[in-house]
Amino acid sequence: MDRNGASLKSSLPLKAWGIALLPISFFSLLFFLPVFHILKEAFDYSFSPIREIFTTTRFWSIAWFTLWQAFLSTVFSIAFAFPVIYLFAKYEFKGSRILRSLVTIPFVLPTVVVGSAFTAVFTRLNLDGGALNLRHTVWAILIAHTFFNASIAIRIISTFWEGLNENPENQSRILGVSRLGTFCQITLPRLRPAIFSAATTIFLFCLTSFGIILILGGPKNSTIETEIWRQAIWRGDISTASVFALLQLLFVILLSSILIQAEKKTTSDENLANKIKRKPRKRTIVFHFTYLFSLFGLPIFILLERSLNHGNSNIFAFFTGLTKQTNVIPITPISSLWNSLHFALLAALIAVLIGILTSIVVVRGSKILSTFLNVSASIPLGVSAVTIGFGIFLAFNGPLADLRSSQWMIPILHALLGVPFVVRSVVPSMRRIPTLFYENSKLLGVNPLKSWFNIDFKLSYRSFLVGGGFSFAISLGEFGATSFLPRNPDTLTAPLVIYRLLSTPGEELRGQAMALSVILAGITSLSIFLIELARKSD
Amino acid sequence: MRKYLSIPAITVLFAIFACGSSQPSTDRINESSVTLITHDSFAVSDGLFETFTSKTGITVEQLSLGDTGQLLSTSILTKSNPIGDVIFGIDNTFLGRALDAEIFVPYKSPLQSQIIKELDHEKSDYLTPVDYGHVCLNYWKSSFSDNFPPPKSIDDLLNPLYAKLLVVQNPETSSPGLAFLLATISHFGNNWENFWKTLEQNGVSVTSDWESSYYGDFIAGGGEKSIVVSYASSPIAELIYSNPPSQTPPTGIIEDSCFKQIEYAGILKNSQNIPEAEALLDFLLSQDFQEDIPLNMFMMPVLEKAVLPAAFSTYPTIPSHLNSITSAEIDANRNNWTEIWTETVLR
Repeated sequence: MDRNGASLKSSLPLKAWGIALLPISFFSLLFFLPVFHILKEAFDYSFSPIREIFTTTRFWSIAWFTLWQAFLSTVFSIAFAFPVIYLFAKYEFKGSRILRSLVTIPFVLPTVVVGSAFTAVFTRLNLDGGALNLRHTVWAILIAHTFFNASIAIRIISTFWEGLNENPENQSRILGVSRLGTFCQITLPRLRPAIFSAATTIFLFCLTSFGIILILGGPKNSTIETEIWRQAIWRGDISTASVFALLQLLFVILLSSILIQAEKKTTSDENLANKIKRKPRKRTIVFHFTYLFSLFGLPIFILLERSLNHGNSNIFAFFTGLTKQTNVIPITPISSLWNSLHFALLAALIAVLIGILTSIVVVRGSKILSTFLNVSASIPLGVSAVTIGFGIFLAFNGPLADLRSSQWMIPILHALLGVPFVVRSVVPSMRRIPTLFYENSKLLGVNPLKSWFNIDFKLSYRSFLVGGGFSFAISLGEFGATSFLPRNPDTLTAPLVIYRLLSTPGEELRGQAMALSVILAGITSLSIFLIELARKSD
Repeated sequence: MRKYLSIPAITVLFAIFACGSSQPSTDRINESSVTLITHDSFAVSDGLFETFTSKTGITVEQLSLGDTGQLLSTSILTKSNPIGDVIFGIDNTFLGRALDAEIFVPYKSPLQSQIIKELDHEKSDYLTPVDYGHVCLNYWKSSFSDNFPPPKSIDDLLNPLYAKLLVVQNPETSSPGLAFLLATISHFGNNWENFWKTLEQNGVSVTSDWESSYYGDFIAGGGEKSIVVSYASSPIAELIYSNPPSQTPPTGIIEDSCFKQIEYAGILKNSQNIPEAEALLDFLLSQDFQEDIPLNMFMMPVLEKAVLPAAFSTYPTIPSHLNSITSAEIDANRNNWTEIWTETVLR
């Protein structure tokens, strides 16, 4: 089998620059221009504070902590996801599609809601400051990161695994190698591209994690991200914040390039014969369900319990209360869900479009273009919300100034964070498609667009769906830089309403916040379920 | 081939759905409009700004921009080309930084003379007080009894009896956390570090944000702490949004622990709509707007003649003993104070 290489390019009459134009302008306008403006702002101040900051031990200890917590969080998220990945890749059973859509729930839950659920779990585990005290420790951060990000690993890796045929594994078993041995020596190496791909996304996500570090890590743990926020927002010290932002940018470019290279190097053409999935035994099901519950269940269970009204004859009173407007929020909580859905759909469509174009260039384009777009499509995930948010305020000046408060900016900026998910799940699947398919297609005189549709699209459309689903979820969850955009009260989204409900005391408001979180989670899994329907045929 | 049909079908459905719900992003029917930018806690009754529009013909567009720190930092960054015309929500802990950045034009509303005197002591030509409130220690009433009365004063917290009962917020990341630190500095003077040293030894719990302490550690959210840094108006919010409905609030305040927060509004320098902005600022001080504040934002009106809603006159929201520090002093010492606090409590 031969790798994607020079021969492929000549066999593909793709006008790579034409395809690349849209993604390149997207990243330039929404990412490079804003980041450039922020760095320019930073260097307009004098250079001396930069030297001062670089020489403090606090600076380096924060940088070091940021890196190792993100590294361990990534390892944990992937390792703990593996039993679930195995279940989804190998077995087909009643309700497997529902289960698949349920695992995305943690991903969109607002940090402040999950944070208090985790605090409740930790308080119960904490035997009065005893040995099990997890609160405000790095363990709390690692556990929460695993909870939030395991679903990324589950979705990306299991989808990739499904597409692999089992011949090498079967041969290995026939030759007498044990199940575990076969997994470690045959399957794991074949999964490497997807593992690196998931790792890139999770790692960048953990580098810029904000709420989890602040809420669960407590006041003693700071990372580059929380430090940028504290300096820029809280202290108004833009020059210190920019030094951190610059360092973060360098880290992110360097690390994502390494991970992306690793993903590329480990990819080989695969024989993509359809695999027959087995029905699991009862024992397997019981094991995996117990495992899934212990991984995701407890905080979600606490959330469900808190959304129910125990002091009232109507146990669903908090849910029915969502249709009424309270004084502290300008719209009814229910209508915020509509806003969320509306933005999420637009964001997912934009992200899938840009993501597919980017992936084509990454896989089939010239080396320079491919590397450039591959890195560009990942780093927005790893760059601080403050950098992008403030950068947009600075960059969009003059005729572009009205865009800053335009409601279109919301789904577009959501899509900027959704594109990495599309690209990271599509690229490994598209790259493994044998070159032979293209050569044959060309020999037969099929036009390039049609052969792209018949080959790339049909063979990797499942990963488009995974990426689209994540973009949708990213938007529903209101991640990162989007919190910096000016909001019109009529277009508040559900997570923002949840935060507002929780910022005034009162049992009624708190109950409604929990009920709205439950509905948000429900809508997320329903949407992912609908997207899953598209893969019914397998 | 059938299996691929569902994808275009879903895409089309999505597209229809997305188009069907697209809203007009700007609906400026009127020639003159004014944009008010606020922090996220800003809220008014439905239709309040319509009374302003019907009187003046000016429509109000509202934009919220995160917390107070984010609101101010964004306004400073965009000062050559501001996002709005009037800014509301700069409090006295941010006042110094806001004035230093020179982002406002001076304006004195004719209604400014009707503001409660003590609130207008900062005498700024650029910023006008619009509402005020107090950050106070709140306690959970049913955790205490006749045999174990709630602390009467902030000094009582030094008593080991109240050890481990208190949760506060980090003044480096939270606005009420900073206000409470300032209250202790005002109350204890040079001795404030010792107060915090004792609290630390007594097992004070610290969280990064108000939500985590009130709904994580404090009893209200299922936690175990019975004293928390919150607002003087929190017991009233607890009462209004109680569930099941209740006649008395479950929490009370410790009066000498309070610190006054005043929220200001100002007109941004490069605004293209100065006359409209001035009219809006006058409206913010009008009786209509001022009387709308308490039940929406749980803050107090600054207008002397504004009538308070019943719940606000029943329960004390203006503590008898007040701690205060001038905004100039806050601005000059803030970073130094929070660094000392961090060294004392967190390290």
